[in-house]
Formats: sequence, structure tokens, C-alpha cells
Amino acid sequence: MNPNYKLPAAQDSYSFGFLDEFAKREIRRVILKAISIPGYQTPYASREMPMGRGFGTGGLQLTLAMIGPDDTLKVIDQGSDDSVNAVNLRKFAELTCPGVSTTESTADASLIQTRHRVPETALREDQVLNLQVPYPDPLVIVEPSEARRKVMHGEGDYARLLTKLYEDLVQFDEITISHRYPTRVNGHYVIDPSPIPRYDVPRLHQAKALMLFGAGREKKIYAVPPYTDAEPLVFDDIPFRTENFHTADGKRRPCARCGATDSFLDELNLETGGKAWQCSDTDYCNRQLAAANDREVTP
Amino acid sequence: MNRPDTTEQHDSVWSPLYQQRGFRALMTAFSFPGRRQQLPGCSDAAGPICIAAILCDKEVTLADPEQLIPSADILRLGIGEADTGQASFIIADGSQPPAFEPTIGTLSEPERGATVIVRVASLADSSDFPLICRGPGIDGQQTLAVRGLNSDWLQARTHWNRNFPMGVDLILVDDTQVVAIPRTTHISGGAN
Ligand SMILES: [Zn+2]
Repeated sequence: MNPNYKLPAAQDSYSFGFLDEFAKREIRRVILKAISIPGYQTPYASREMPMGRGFGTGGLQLTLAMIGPDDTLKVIDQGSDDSVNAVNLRKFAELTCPGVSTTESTADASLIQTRHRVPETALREDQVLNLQVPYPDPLVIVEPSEARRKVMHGEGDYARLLTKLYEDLVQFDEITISHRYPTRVNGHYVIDPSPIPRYDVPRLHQAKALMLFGAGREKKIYAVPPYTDAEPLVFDDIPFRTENFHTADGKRRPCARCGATDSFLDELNLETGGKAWQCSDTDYCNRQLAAANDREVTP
Repeated sequence: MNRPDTTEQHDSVWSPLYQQRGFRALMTAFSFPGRRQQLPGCSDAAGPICIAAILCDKEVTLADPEQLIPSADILRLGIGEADTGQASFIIADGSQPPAFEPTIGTLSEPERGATVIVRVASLADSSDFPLICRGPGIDGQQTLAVRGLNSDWLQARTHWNRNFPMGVDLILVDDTQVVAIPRTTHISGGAN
């Protein structure tokens, strides 16, 4: 979106939260059905937004349909509050939702809109995570017809998807899917959990917070409710493994900035030609750094 | 027409702020089935009408066979009326056995299963009708106490929800509190 976007002069004609009350009410109804049918891609009439689809309109519409002046909003993109996309979406929310507070702290947020990561800090029951989704249907790779995919989802029939995964496995000797790992929700629907790394998939399982997924271009909303099973599709003989960030000699690599050994790390190419690994979650990294500094100051 | 007027009082059920806060109470209720949520305070309607105002407008249909919503509010909602067998929303008195068969959706479109707003006498603590809820959104089990819910409702919803993902989602509501029972919730216990 255009970072200098301004609402037209006749601001009175805009609702709080940009969307009109009919659009909000429709998304609200769809959210309740999505929670009632965990993992089901519930269709909705995605509205035009002043930014291209693919810029997180699905996640943004979720946020705008539920946000109110009591909320504190955090927006992250690949774990960072400072990336251009996160900053622009946060600005848009500030512009269209007067009275709403924003924060970079996971713990202080009531609503978190995110692309590509689940925050490192465990979420609470009173928080909601809205994930931006580019491609909502994991069955697209095995079935081109949406009508047939909808029947397969309804029947919980994922035999062809499993076969496809297995072929990958035989060819590459391991599951090569790094992001968007197909995940079964409440023992029935398989979802595309959005482009989060495998590392984040186990954190959808039996989480305390509601997690909602919004796909603006495909006009779908789906949910992993709190305290709900979310299990990566696996085979008996091949365990699901998350990224481990081990060095060649098998040690867990620490974050080069804060020293954490329990976070998802981004690989950075240094100007000097080498590589460094650093937390992708900037709020988590800042907190670990502050805690480490505190320990140095207070003996 | 359910088009909230921004000049109205924030404690009016028709104000955008009320509807946003009310929706959040409902979203929390659906996230944690069986757990009571307080509806935001409101000056011009009681529980069942609050739920209709938050969720219903001209884009959906509502069946109100017992005429629990005053006709002026139906008009204000701008909602299309429909038979209980077709309506996306049904409003009913929980003290009576359900005398209808709501739509349960289809395998491809389970979201078309109805939402039934069930008016009950009280969701305040009481041991009259202790129900044990289990399922998504519930950490182990959740106890639910409700007065004014005919036990036939429990059998009816078991029947409606026999083929997941098809099914019916219930919103129990007294004057000020709400409890959601989506189709995924398993209920045991009860008076009889
Ligand atoms: Zn770090």
C-alpha cells in the first residue's frame, strides 16, 4: 500500500475501522462459523481495500472487523514490527481506528496481526492472533477443482495429499516443506497454516489463544480455536521435525544479538561475507537482550 | 435497517461501539464454549435482541416462530424472515422443547448450518442443570449451569450434530450473559 495513504476529506462517511458496518457484520458472522467448524475455510465477501490483495488484506479485514477502542494492536511481518509492511498496516489501523493503542510488545497486545510467524512469547486466553494467508487450500496441489476439494475437505479425505507428501519423502528422504506445513485441526480439516515455518506449527496445537487465518484474495477465513488439536500430517515411520539451528558439531546456535537458544533464527548474510543467526521475533530478541543487560548490572 | 447510527448513545444496541464490544463477547464465548460471557451494558434491549442486533441484518434470514423480538426491532434489523427450516438464524424460547428442524448445512457448505439463539431464564450460577462440556476451546472440561433450558434441546442438538462438519450452533442468552455451544461441543450430564 501507499505509505502516504490518506483518507478522503469526507472522513465522516467512513466507519471506525474503515469497513462499513455491513462488511464488519458479515466478517463477524463468518468468524463465529469458522470457530464453530475448526479448520474449515469459511467463504466471505472480501471487500476492496486501499492496497493490493496480497498485502495482508485478509488479516487486516479480520483485525478491522473486531478491533475497538479498548484494544492494543501489534502488527508484525516475519517477526518484525519494523518492516515496511508491518509499519504500513499499523499506520493504516492508527489512521482508521481512532483511540486504538498500538504496541510492539507481544505481552501488551490484545490483538496481534502477523505474517509468517507466531510470536515466540506464548499467547494468553485474552489475546487473538490474526494471520495473513496468501494460499488457504492445501489440497490445491492435488485437486484443481474447488468443488471437488470442498467435498474432500468435508469428508476429511486427505489420502491424495498424503500420497503426494510421501512421494516427496521418497524422493528427498525427508519432508522438504519448510513453510505452510499441512496441519490437521481437531482431527478433521487439514489447513494451510500460512507461510509460518515448521518451527511454529506445534505452537498452534492446544494454544490458549484463538488463532484466525484470513485470505483476502481467496476470500476465506478459518480458525484454530484455543485448546484444539493442530497436528502436522505425518507418517508413522517419519517423525515431524522442526528446524533445529544446530551447528556442524550438533550444538544449538545462539542468537548473535541476544544469545537466546530457544527462538527461531533468521540467517543473515554479513557484509564481510560470513553468516550470522539472529532471532526473527524482534520483540523477543529485545526482551532477552534487556534481561541479559539487567543481569550484568545487578550482581 | 441495522445500520448503526454514529450519533446514538454508545450504550444503545444499535451503536457501532456496542456492536463491536458485543461481538467480542460473542467471539470469546465461541472460543471458550460453555463459559459465561457478560454482554456489554445496554440501555435499550435485553439479551436475545442484543445478539440479533450484533449479528443480523438484511443479508441474512431469521426465523422467530414464537415472536420473541418485537416487530419494531425486526423492522429496525431490516432482516429477511424465513421458515425455521431455511433460516440462517433462529430465535427460540429454551423453556420449550425445540419444535423445528433447522438447516444443518451440507458437506461442502457446513457454514450454512443454522445459528440458534436460545433464550434461557438464567445463566447465573445454579446447580439445577449442571452440564459438562468437552471439545475444542475447552481445557479438559467446562461446567455449565443454566436455568430454563428444556432438556430436549440437548437431544435435539445431538441429533442435528450427528454428522460433523454439518450441524447447528447454539447461543444461550439470558438478559445480560451469553454462552456459546458450537456444534463441536460434547455435552454430558443434565437433569434427566
Ligand atoms: Zn535474539
